[in-house]
Amino acid sequence: MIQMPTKTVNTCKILVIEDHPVTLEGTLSILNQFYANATIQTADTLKKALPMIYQFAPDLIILDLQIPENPHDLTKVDTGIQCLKQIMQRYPQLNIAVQSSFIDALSRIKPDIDNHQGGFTVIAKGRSTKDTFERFDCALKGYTHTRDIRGGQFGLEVKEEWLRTLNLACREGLQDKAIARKLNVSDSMIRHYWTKIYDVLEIYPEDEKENGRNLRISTCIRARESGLID
Amino acid sequence: MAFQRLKQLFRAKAPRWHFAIAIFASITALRYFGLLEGFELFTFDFFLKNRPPEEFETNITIIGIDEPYLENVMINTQDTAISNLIERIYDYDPAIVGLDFFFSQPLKSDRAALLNTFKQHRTLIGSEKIFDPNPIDAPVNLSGLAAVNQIGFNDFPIDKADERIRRVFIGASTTGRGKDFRESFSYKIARIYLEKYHNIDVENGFFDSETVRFDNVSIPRISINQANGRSNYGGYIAEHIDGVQTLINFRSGDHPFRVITASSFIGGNFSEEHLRGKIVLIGKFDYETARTLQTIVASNSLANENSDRATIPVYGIEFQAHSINQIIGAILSGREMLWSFPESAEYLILVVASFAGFLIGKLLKSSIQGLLVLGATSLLITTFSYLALVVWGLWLPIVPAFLGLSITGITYIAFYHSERSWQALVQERDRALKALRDERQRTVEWTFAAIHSGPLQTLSDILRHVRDRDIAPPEFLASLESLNREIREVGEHLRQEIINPEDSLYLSQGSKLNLTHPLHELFYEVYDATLKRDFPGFKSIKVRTVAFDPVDEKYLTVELKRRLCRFLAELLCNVGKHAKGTTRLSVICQAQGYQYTLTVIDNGIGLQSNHEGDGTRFCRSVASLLKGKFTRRKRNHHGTICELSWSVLHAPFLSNESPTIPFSISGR
Repeated sequence: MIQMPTKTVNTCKILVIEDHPVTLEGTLSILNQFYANATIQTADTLKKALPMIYQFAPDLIILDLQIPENPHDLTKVDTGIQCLKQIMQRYPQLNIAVQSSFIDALSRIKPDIDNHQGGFTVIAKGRSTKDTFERFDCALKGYTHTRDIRGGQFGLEVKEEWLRTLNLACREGLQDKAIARKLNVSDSMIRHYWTKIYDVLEIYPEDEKENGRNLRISTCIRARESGLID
Repeated sequence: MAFQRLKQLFRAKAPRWHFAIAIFASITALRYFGLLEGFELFTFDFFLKNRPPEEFETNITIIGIDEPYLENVMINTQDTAISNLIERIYDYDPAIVGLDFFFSQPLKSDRAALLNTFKQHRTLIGSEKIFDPNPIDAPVNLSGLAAVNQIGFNDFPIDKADERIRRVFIGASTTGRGKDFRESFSYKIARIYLEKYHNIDVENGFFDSETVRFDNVSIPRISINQANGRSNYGGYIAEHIDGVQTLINFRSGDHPFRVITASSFIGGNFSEEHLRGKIVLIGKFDYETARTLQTIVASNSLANENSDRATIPVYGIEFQAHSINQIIGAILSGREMLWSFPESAEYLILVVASFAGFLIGKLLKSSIQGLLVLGATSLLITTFSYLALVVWGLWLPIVPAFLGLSITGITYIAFYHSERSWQALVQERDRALKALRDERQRTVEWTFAAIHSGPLQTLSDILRHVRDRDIAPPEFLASLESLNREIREVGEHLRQEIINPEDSLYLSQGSKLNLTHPLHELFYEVYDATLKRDFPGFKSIKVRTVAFDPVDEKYLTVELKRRLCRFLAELLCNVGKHAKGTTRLSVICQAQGYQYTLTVIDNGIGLQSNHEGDGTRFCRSVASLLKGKFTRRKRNHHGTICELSWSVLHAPFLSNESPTIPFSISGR
């Protein structure tokens, strides 16, 4: 289920969980435009969506936080949040893009998001097609983009493990496998740490590649600038 | 116009002056009706009793007719015994001799010997008692000028308040003023002594023509209201005053005068110098038959080491010695006599003292400061009034002034304290109202946006399809149903927004927490919102690590969760306010079995003082509520560690009842 950034995106499976016809229409038109060969399914209630994640095994889910549990139910952001927490718990490596008018509500489960190993991006409804696509794509490639729900505070919010990873990589020059051994976690966990570090340092791997920069080295430079490593 | 403004100003200021005026009026009334007299006299006595002792007075010698001598002379008649004693004294050439002695036999009996002695010695002064009750004639029947020159009256004016003696007669008339004006025994002796031995003649006073003056020293007379013959002099209220009286300034110290008993005098047990050129006073020193007086001084021949001097009286003759001493002391050695301001000046002092109390309450910003300054000022004026009495002999109205100062002071301190708390309450209410207004504003904006982006969009979509006539009835129905739901959703969201106040917690940034959410998520929201605040300690932060383990909530009530959230906000605010220069902040809630630890670590400048503010007290109250432990300590190099640890095993609230400890949100 791990979605490596190298995997071709054209043949992927995408599940859109959205009950609002107008939004759904917009989302689908974006997906059709950029992922011509993708298999796309939709669900308009949580009750339908949960089994579909299991059966359909999508590479990416696009989730609206305001979604009813059953048809004709009223939507509640809380229900969406609860559902998202369940999904992240059950499928820790699933790529998720949250598209909602209420992205602020996510800030309360940010620690859960930080622990989520799959891609996780957030986009407010009503953003441009280009922005929206980029966030979907980012999530599909397993990256994290949560800048929209961070902010206002001084300093960077990190986890101890990320700091240790950065120290081992940038100060002792260790490779991921060695770091994983030292920290006693799996290789994939180290990769997960990196995606979180990129997100918090606002480094977007695609941009770095385009600009011909070495991702690790520029991450270490940025980490030193921001005081994450001494 | 100007009058209107004046009226407005007065009206605005009026409530503040009311207390001061009322207090001034009450104290004035209390004093006027004599309710303070006892306290004032007591304070006056207390100050006088606690003066430093004065030197021994060498100009006056007292010959005390003691019991053994009286028994001896009973064999003879008293007449010859006393005249013999006087003759023996005159052998040593005294300046003047005063005989203050009443015989047990009536005057009709033969006093030829004593009469002869009086006629021989023109400087021998005798005494009589002229006022009711029980006037007593002079011991000998002198006639004409001799009676005027050699007899003085020895009545004592007794204070009606406590029957003690604080005043002494200069002179008086028993019938009416002027005609039969007589000099008192003590004044007569002092006057004759000053005239004969120091050539100082008596004149009328400079300012008060009714008093007497020697050289340029006037004897301060107790002033009288001519209408009713009563006096409000010093602490006295409506004291009845006969004739000319002055306050008595007792000579302080345990041994003011030389006393020789008559028996030791007869036995030759004395030095000649003690009599030559001295004022010699003869009086009874026998407790059974002598007159004793209650004053602030005690007779040495009555007091012993164990007795309480406050209850010991003095003999009449000793009192006369004090009275004579104060006049000749004032004229010959500049000793102070006791005096007081006119009544109006005393009330002016009371006004000033009350005003000082008002100023202390008004001007000092904190109540503690106010009370300290008030205490210091009270002490200062009390000390000043003591010194004024000791140094200048001035009797100040310290009791009413002290009352005026302290009552006005405490009243205004309390008044402005409550006004300040009221203002704080008003400010808090304004803040709460503003929060409410902001919330309403946000809700309105959200509603507008929600309608605009939701139902209105759908509606315009439907309209477009209907206009284009490209919509089939089933789709049309679905769209309408969708529209219906959207509109209801906006309503539902609005209803949700108004969560039960019991289940919500407002943070100062206007964000609202739903306390039914899990605690670790609430902690994160608190953390997230608090760090957005504009505090100096947050500005330098570079790295924040944060981790909140889920907490077993079976044992937590909503109220307890609210307090824990506030607790975390409080700790973070402390970092923001005090831990300047923090670059790393670590906030962790760790679960180990049943044990939870919430830790906030910064690397700022650290604890600057051990002062415990409201915030810290609140933190301690949360800890005790959880039966946990709150600690705050310095880190090794920089910064502070705050820690709250508690165990669900000791959780006090297993039911859902709310704890009742009140907590008001501190003014942040």
